Amino acid sequence: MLDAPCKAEQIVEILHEGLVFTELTSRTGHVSVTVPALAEKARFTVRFADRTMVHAMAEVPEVIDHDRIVLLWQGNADLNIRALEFGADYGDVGHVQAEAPGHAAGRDEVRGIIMRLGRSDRPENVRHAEIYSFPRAMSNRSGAVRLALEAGVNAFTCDREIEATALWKTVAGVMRPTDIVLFMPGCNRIGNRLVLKNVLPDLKIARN
Amino acid sequence: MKMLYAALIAALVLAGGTGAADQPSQKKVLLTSKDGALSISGTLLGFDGEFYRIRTAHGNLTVDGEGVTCKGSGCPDRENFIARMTISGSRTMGDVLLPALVEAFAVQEGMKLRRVVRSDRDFDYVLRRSGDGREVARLAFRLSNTEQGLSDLLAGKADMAMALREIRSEENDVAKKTGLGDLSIARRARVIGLDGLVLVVSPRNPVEGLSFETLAGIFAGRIANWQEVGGPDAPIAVHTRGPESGLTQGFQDKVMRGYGLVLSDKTIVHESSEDLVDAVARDPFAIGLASYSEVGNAKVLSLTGECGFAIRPSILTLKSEDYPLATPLFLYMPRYRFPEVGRDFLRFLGSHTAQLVIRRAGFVDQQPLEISIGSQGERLANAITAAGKETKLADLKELVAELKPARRLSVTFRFQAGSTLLDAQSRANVVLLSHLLKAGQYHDKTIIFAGFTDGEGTAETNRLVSERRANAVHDAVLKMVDGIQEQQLKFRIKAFGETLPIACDTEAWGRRINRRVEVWLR
Repeated sequence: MLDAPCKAEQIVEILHEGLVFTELTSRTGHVSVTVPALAEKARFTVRFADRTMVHAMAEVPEVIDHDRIVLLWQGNADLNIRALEFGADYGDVGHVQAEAPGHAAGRDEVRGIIMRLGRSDRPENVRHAEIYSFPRAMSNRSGAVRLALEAGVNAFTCDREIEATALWKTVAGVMRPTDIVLFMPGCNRIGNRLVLKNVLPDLKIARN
Repeated sequence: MKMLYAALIAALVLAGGTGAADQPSQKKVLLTSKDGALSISGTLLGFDGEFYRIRTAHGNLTVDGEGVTCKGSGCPDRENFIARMTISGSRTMGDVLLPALVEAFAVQEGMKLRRVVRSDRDFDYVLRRSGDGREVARLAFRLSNTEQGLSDLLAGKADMAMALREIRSEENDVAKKTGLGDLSIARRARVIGLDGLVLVVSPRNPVEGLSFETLAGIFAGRIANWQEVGGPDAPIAVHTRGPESGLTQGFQDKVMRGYGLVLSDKTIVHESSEDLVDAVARDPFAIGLASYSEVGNAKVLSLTGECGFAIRPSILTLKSEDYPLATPLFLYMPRYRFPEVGRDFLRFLGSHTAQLVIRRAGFVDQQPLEISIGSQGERLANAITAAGKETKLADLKELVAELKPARRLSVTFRFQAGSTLLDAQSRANVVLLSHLLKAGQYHDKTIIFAGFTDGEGTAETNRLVSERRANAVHDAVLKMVDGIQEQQLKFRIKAFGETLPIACDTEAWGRRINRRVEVWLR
């Protein structure tokens, strides 16, 4: 939660362990946003348009209970993460996407969520972020979660290269960025979605 | 035949790396030694960042770039050299494993990484120095299947081929003729990790294990209903990858061929193993041929034998090849020199970090495991059950006395079907074990090479045969560790003949698994 009455109706950037997205302050200079933590000692920075910065820190020990995959992009590129958990097909329980939050989970079923962040005054100024979180420590299932990167072919993206960044944990246990360049299909394919199944790593969950 | 001929021509023109050979006609160079005393002119065939390869009137020459200056339209930019390599072949290896290894390599080298994606089967990794951001290498990935990868390598369209099977002799003949060298030798057929062919069904299917013979029948389309194998009355839906996939070809060679059967052409074919296991997991009446590294949400079957042994694929049974369908992951590479980045990457593949990455990606790494005799209980119980005819209590006592104070190493040596030659995984194990010995890993231990046979023939003959095999493995390992004092290593050869079968002697695959040399440490 950020409170900055003197900086009303501004675009601010929120930075956290490689995660970056834009937000708008309200008329009273307020921003309220929930951000999933990516480190136990989570550092947050808010950067204002005039380049002044505010830092905050939080202890989030439960970070290690979650698997998180982050996708970052800017402007009119139409990207999203899609998760199919434990063998789910499109439209099944277990198909997780930010726009269509999954069906209510069964009583004993733990599932992941996709959080979408990023707002601005104009679409081209938005820095977007999507984060898929799976509560590994609470799960009593084993199997695979398939993660796909989807990219909409629209008038802004068709026949172009679009850039994104993905973050996930390396074997050393730190979140590391990989820059991604996508060659988008031609403009005769506007309205389609490109589905890439191997750009983001699948999660393999073993029963606790 | 026509295709092979075309491949030959292409390889002659392109030999020297895919990144190195565009438009040779325009690449005239004149290389002059620094003192000006010597110069050679010719057409540039390739440049790997350090060495020029040129075609001259005297034939093809490789010249160290340090010692000469280059003049002419074909001279490469030595300062801003970008290493380009193409890696083609198996999707099983290229979807997750090789990308994860490239990513970990970049972290280790402190380089920035960018993945340029045209599709899931066609992408490049661009590696940049972290300081000035200069591009130093571009690794292009082209994913299809084992067969296509090897064919790209032979045609000079790839610098490395990802393969789930060994190169066939007719493919290797092309490689030798086109100057790529003998690709069957260990240096050009790098085993980077292990995987296994596994049979999967839906978790809702009650079947837990099937025999080779039943599997061959199902995949040939002869057994078409689950009722015939003790399941419900429902048709069996058989899922496979395409005919050029290393998985399909491996299954055909290792299982179907033994029963004189071929894969039915009515199977449901998937483009990737991921799609395959997901489809099988959803259908309780499906069975699929998949790999250990990618079983998704499906259930893995044991392989059963008619005498009651059942073997499940696991890290241990794949490392020890006790599971009969273990498959090495091969990276095939030609004789020519790779750019420095490529050589560093190959070195990285043998590192401890790389083994971690391989395990995390779901594959089996090559770090040997040590197993105490306590956890070998089931094997001993099997041996006692099978004993009586020719194996006497005294033989079993001798075996236990020898091995009780010892620990078995997962490194195991097996032989090609009907032959005394080591199989591919075992040849890689010779290299692996000799490296560990050279590094002094087991310097305070006695290394026991324990030979075993199947139960064919008399016990007396089998004891002799197992001794000969154990000796042969010992000699092969010793030859590789030359350089260290032999007296520093304590070896022991033990021949146990047919005493400890781990699979059924009544079937060919069982006999092959039983013919082995184990390594124990004491």
